[in-house]
Amino acid sequence: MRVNLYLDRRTFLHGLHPLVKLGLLAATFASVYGIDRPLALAPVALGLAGLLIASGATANVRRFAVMFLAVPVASFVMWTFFYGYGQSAAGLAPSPRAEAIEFAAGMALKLESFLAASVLFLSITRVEEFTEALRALGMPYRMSFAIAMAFRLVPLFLTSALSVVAAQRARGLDFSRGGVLARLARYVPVVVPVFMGALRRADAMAMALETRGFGRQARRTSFARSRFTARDAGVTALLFAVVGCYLWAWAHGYGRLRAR
Amino acid sequence: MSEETLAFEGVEVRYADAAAPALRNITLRVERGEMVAVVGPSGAGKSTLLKCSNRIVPSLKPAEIRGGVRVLGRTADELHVRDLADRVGFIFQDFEAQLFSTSVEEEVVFGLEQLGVDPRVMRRRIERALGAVGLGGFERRDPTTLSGGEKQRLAIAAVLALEPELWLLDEPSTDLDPAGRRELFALLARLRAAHATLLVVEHDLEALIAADRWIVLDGGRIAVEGTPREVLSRPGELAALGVRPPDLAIVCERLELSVWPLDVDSVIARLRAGGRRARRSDPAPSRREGAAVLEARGVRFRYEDQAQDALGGVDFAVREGEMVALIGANGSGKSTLARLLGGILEGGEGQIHWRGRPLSALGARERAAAVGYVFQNPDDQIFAATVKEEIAFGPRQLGCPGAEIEARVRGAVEAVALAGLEARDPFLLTKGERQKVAVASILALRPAVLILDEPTTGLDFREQTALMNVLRRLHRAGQTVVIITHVPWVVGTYAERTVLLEAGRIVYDGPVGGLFADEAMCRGADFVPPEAARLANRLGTAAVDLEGLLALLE
Repeated sequence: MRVNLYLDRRTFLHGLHPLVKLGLLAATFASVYGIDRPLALAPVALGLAGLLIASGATANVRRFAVMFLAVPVASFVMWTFFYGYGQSAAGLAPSPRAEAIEFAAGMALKLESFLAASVLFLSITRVEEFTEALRALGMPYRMSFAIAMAFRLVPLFLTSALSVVAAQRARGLDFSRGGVLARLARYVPVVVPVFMGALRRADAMAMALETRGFGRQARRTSFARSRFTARDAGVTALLFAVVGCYLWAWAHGYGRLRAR
Repeated sequence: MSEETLAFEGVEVRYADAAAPALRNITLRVERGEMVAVVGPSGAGKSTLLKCSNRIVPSLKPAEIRGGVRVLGRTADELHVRDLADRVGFIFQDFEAQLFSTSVEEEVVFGLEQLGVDPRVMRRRIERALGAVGLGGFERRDPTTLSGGEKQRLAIAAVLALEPELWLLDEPSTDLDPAGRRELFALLARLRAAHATLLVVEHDLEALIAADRWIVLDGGRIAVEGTPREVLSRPGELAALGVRPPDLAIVCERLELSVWPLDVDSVIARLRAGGRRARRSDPAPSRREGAAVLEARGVRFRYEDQAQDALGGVDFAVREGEMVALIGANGSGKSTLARLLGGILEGGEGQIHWRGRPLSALGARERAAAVGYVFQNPDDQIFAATVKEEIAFGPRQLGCPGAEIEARVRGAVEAVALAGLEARDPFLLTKGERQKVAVASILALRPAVLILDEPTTGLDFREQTALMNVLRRLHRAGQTVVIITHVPWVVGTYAERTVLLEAGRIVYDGPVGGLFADEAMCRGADFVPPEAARLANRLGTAAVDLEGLLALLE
């Protein structure tokens, strides 16, 4: 089972400097966070859709299809009924229906943009690039390495857990029988081997890390993974411009709804 | 005068919580450019010897060390394992545990960055290391998508890039199939040709014939030391120490032949020169009288995210009372087939039938009584505080009454010869004993068909023989057994019928002797018959194991 989302392609977006990729993610969040109106959010959402297609990340979008579909449904169900409660003249009546629907659509677009930007980032960024960007922003090496190891270990532990579940099922363990407590108790035969396996693996990895010199040099060197090019500078300028426009709009009340 | 790379002088190592020392009075000197093989049964101290050589012990595994260790001219007492990282390379048995990165290139870069290597030379070192292990062009691949052999070669490339003078390899071929093993030992030969010093712990003695020296450890002591020729001239001594000697060594000892190099061609030449012939024999047919109990019909299966089918339309039947070996290279589809037969995997096309009924239609209790599946790693299932509780777990899940659980546990314990260990903590048993616990815990479900996924992996010769003898006893008592294995002598000695898979298809299904006689087919599917069978083929006769061959020769 494939757990990580990175797709090894050679697209324009894959070739961007890690800091710019991180900037793209941050810019999306900063741009849409304070905006409510769907029309104002649409350019970002459409732009992200284009970038997902351009980077070949639509395969990952399909993997999250349920979430991408659930977000607008949940948003419309929730905000159509609860938008603006307590803020109307009567005190308790809901806000006008049209504005509630507009808010629900805007919220759906905003959440979809967050999701799409995250999928895009994980589709075009290796773990090592991510941690390189974090280090460039001043994060200590050991902390960024711990993050990288977490990304590496999660799929391994998941694979190990699936193997243990299969082994215990082969011995007749049925996770679907009984009440909540009985079901929880049935996870003990899974948790113990997974935990013991994780300890063994952590021990083995610690040894392997030390044999390859981990922590030996106070000043490590860095492989030249990526250079900040004119292309990166151009994309950065574009991101600043987009974020600037949205912050300006937010500060002047454009794109926001009355009852919010 | 030759240059010393590693020296042990009267070394004794005792782990913090151990009753007995792991190493006792070890005196050893390894010269630059030497390849030294370290063999011995489990618990003999092989890994400890290696880990003392680069200071994993005691830097990371606390232990009391007496005596002197010198590594590359430095007294080891004040060194930490990371101080030696640029000069001593270590390859672990578990290739998963030594890969940390998300691409092949990043994996090789990791050590270079840690050691502060000049970034301007990194690219060259990466290309050279990946080229040397045949992974050029794999730079952007995710290591988790590589085969076992490729992963182990990547681990070697990551160390190679650091340009160490001394290589320590701890059972590097254990988890590899024959093709992966061949790649690995070819690589070690190239390292040796480049004057690297190698200290290799390994069970596969046939692969170590080219070493300069063998050291056989037993109970933490050096029991035998000499050139491979000297050590192999006394194969009985090796067997007594729990190490499986190569078939050819035993043949030469029995026939009082002095042959070197010890390979099939040389032995054949000596036999012919001495006028010796083998009695003619044809491959024995497999038993086919049992009724088909478990059947795969037109089974096709593809894993998520894979471009190719793991199984491409397989028809296969397990007959009552037979012992079948499923063999094939990594990725050939044998585990997928076994998992589908065991009900561990579901989906795909085609049907799996149990006595004419779809396996998926069986209830939990019926299925447990039909097929039992023992996973490769016993640690994937062990969780209970005692052996008895561990074995009782399955019957309890099936809702068996207390008296029946007791009876089933007793029967399973006796079947796998674990009597006396029922109250022990299974986590504290040896790997061989834990494997027996895993088998017993499935036997307690009383399945009609027992499927075992590579049950001998990670076990030494004694443990392998003990476990396989348990399976043979069960089989002779009527148990139907299916094993997946990479070990040729296990197939030859224990199986009646063998099924060879290649790229998701069955390319051979029949008696073991028939397969071993067709070496071209075996080569095509990356399987190497045992030495005894290859020697028999060259003598124009047929034998599947050593005893069979000796009977024909004597």
